[in-house]
Amino acid sequence: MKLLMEPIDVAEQPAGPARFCWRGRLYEVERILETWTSRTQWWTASAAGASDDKREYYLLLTTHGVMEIFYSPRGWMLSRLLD
Amino acid sequence: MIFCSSHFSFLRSPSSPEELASRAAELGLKALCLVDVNGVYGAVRHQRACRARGLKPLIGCTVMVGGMPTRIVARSRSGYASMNRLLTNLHSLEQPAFETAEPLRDLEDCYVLTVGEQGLEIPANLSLRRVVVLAVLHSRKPGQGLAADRMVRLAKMKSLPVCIAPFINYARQDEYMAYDVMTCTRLGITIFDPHPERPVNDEECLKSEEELRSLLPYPEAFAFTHTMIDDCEEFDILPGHVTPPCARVPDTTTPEHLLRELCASALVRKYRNQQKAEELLKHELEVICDLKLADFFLVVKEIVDEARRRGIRCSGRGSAANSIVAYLLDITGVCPIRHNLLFERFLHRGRKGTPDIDVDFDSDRRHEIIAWMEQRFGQEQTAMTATLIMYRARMAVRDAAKALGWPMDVVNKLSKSVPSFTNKDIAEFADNLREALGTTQIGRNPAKHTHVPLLDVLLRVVEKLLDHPRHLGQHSGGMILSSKPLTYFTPVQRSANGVSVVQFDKDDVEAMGLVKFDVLGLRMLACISEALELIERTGTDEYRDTEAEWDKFESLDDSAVYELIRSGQTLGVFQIESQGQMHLLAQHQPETFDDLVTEVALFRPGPLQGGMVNPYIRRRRGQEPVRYIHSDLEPLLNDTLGIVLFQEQVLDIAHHFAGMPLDEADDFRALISKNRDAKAMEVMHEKFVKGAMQRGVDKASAELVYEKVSHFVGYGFCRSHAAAFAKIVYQSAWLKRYYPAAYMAAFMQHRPGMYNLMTLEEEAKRFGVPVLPPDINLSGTRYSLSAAEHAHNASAGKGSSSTQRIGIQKPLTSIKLVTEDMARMIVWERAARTFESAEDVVARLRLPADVYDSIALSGALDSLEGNARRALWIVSLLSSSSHKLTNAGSSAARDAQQRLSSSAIAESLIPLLPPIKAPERLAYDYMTHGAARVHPMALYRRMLTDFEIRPIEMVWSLPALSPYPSVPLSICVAGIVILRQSPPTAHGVLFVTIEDETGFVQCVVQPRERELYERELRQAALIVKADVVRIGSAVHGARQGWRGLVVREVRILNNVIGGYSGHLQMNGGLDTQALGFGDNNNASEDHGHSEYQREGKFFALVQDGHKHSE
Repeated sequence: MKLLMEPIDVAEQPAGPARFCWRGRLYEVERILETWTSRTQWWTASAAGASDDKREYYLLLTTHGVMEIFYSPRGWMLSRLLD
Repeated sequence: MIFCSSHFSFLRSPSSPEELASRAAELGLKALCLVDVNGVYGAVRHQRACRARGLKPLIGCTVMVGGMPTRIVARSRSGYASMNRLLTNLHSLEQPAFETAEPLRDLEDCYVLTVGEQGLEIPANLSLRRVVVLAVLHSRKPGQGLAADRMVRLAKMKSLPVCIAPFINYARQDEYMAYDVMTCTRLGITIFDPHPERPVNDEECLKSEEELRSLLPYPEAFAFTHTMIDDCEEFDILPGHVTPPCARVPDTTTPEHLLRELCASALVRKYRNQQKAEELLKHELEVICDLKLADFFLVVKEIVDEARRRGIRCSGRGSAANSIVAYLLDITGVCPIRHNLLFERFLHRGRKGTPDIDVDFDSDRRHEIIAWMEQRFGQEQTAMTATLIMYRARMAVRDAAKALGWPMDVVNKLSKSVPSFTNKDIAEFADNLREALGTTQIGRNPAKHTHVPLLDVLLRVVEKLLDHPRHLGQHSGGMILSSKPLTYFTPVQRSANGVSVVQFDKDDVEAMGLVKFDVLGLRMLACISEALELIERTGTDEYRDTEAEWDKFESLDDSAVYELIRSGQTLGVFQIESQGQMHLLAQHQPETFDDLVTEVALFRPGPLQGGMVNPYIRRRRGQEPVRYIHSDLEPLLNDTLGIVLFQEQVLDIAHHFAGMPLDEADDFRALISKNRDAKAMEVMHEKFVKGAMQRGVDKASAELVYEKVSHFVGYGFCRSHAAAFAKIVYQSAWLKRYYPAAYMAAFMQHRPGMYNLMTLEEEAKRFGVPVLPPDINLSGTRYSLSAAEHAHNASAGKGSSSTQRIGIQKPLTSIKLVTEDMARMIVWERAARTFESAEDVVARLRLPADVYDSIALSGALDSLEGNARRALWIVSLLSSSSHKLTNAGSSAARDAQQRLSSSAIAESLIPLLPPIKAPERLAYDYMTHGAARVHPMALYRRMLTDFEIRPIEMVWSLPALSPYPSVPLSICVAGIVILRQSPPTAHGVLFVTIEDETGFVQCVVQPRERELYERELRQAALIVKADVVRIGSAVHGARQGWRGLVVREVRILNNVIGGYSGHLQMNGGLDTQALGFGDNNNASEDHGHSEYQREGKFFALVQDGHKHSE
């Protein structure tokens, strides 16, 4: 497993990510294995509720292996590569 | 169906049952199951909330089984009782968790929902209708989706049903923040600390079925969940009728008949069949029997009779005193006809639930009656009511600030900057909090990229925490008595002090139809009982005519007692000992028992805040005419001169003036008293005015009457309660008037009042009662009476000025470090043979060395050795040697110790010691038994006189008028601060009571002077220059009426005469807020005891006083 935290570009379908581009290479999503969310720094949100700590995670089986990506108000990130 | 936890899981959810039910209804759910952790605390409110919103309420709980959360859902009423038994067993464990699934075997008619394989171990028994379910959970946490898949596969393999059961801990997503803070508070960590129990997202909120179906693609699980909902019965834990305990009634009669018989015979005895009493009794009995409460009254009578049989003093209080039935059964001691008490304030046909009968018991022996009740009604049928400890402003700020990571000193500052309770929005205290934080408010947020100051976060969190329960407490006296085992209604758990407590508060208990009886402990009753015992035990001349005077004690009309009360010498008298009450007494000048009832009721937040006190006093003293806003009010308010003073009058006005039915009028009274629900108040306002107008009252008058009545906010007494308390006021004043020694001794023993021991001893001396220091051969384990050699001039009290007077003998337990066990040991040893010397004491007792030192310094060995210095020397020599030898541990050492203990100490080992000087004696007294035999101010008197600082008694002897009309009468006095008060009703005025060797006086510090002398006013001893305020006149210089001082200037006494660290308080510590002494600690070096060196601050006073007096 490798921790990355790098920005990626993602093409979405209603069910979730369909493919994404990381370091100039395109990755096709074959199956969404699991999804979950996280929110661990709620105190950084303003009183109006706008929060940038909320993340939507996807564990994906791609053409190049299992990868974990997430979406937050700052955009899409690739967080982990799984062996 | 959704399974959710409410805030009754205590720090595991920020949502109330009502919030959960509202949200569930919004989401279109059909049923809601409450599964709070380890209990069914919220069941009553959950059932009500669901029914009000058209949801099917199901009741369950969550318990830990084998380390996994397991949810149990009751299928029926018997399943609920079975679950309660399981929870009762759970709470009997050291840690509330089951190691295995075995205890679940006894469950009946319940569903058990497990999330792990350990659930499969629970033996299924279909005859008991128990079903094991694998719960699929999904709170969008990592790994949960895969786990759900595994669970479904496992269930298929084992042929077990699967249901949908996500963990729901709050109603709406935005409550996640409060949930996280509560979790951190529960775990004792901050939000910056990782912990597996902390939430990782905000998904544990209520969700619609559609949303859940999108997350959990298991249609068969949803189908089974609906089957479960339909299968569970909608049983009722709110029966709408009362389940009273069974009274002891002979087989030949019924409870109703027995009650009528008992009342009828008492009616002849107490009223000689007076017609009014007969009519009242008939009416009350009809209501009581209609409401099926005859058993309840008989049970209370049985308890009160048992207490009296055991000689335990008790007294009914509260609204029960409005009932002639309670009076005839001797539950209460106040005649409702004589005092014009309204039965409907206590009970009426519209009343929901059981009425409150509160009985005060001698606090010293209350446990005896509780033990008897448990034995009489059965351990399984008796338990105490719980109390919900809710988050109030100060506690919420404290918990939130801790969880947000501020250091403890800042947390303390923050929590002290808000009131403990307030109706205001917490945001209104933002400035206070900002001020408490100083510069730490911004920039301490360790989260990067944040622009949100942590103070704003704190305010948001506090707002969310307020009014949610934090933990469960135990009611002060609400004992539930049931005819069925309590587990039929509720689980029973043990409190920290080993008392059985149910899981519901008094309102829920009442809603469940259970009967609660308030067994309250009142220290004043213990004080009165002990005083009477002391009087009976003391067969001296002074106490010879007790029997003859006994009637006066009960008659409530002794003019000498009212004289004492009017004189304001009420320190130690029940309810009227505060400076505020003394001030009111001087104005009110009570002459009769009715005046005492009024006096007690006047000094309450309701009348005080409603501005009713001064008009009443003026009318009572004939200084203004009695007026009524409307003529219809005259019959309702004529005995309180047109002023609303009692709760019954609010009820009366709502009923008779505004035409409300009695139950609605009672709701109106309760609402007015609480004054918390502005919307409900507005509805009542409209109803009140409309009702009055329908009775022909004009709108303006109706509005005016409403305005006056609505001022009766905050806590006010009901007349019956005031009358019950006034009786104790009279009896305590009677005892103080005629038997000051016995009364003050009992008072010092039980300490039911607000003053420190030194002030109590000074008060005893002012009443001619010497207070004798502890003595190893005379003192017992309690304050007692003893013949004293020294005569004092009695300002009041009975008896001659002979040199033999009854004095108060301080007990051995009053000596610092001497425990009750040690005192018993000393008395036991003395019972064999009196102690002959300090050596004898050390030889025959096995006490720690520091206890011997304390005993010697207290003067308890003076009768054996002449003075404390010599006694201290001897016990130190013997006890330190024996200590060393004991530590040596060998048998030879123990023999040596024996020899040393048994041998006479050589006189050569004791040097020629100087006698103890008065200041030293004073210091030793303070340190070892909390009060000195000489008031500290007496040591400074000569020097104070040089500064024209007068004794406080002179405040009373000043002429009535200043010789110069434009100049107010002023005086300069000095004293030790014995009380500091700044009630919210005083609008920033500080009341400081100072005391010297001649008396005490209240100093009124206006806000301007308070600000100007803030530092000085925090000190333990003050000099004040002040204008004298007087109410009532002095008779031959004796203390009469009230005198106060309006402070103009303040100086710290230390700055003039040296240091003083403050005297000991009854709850421990010193009565001072800030210590500003000199560094003169040297006096303690004289005797070389390090323990006393640590307390050497006190010697600064002694030394300086000594120097000056020399």
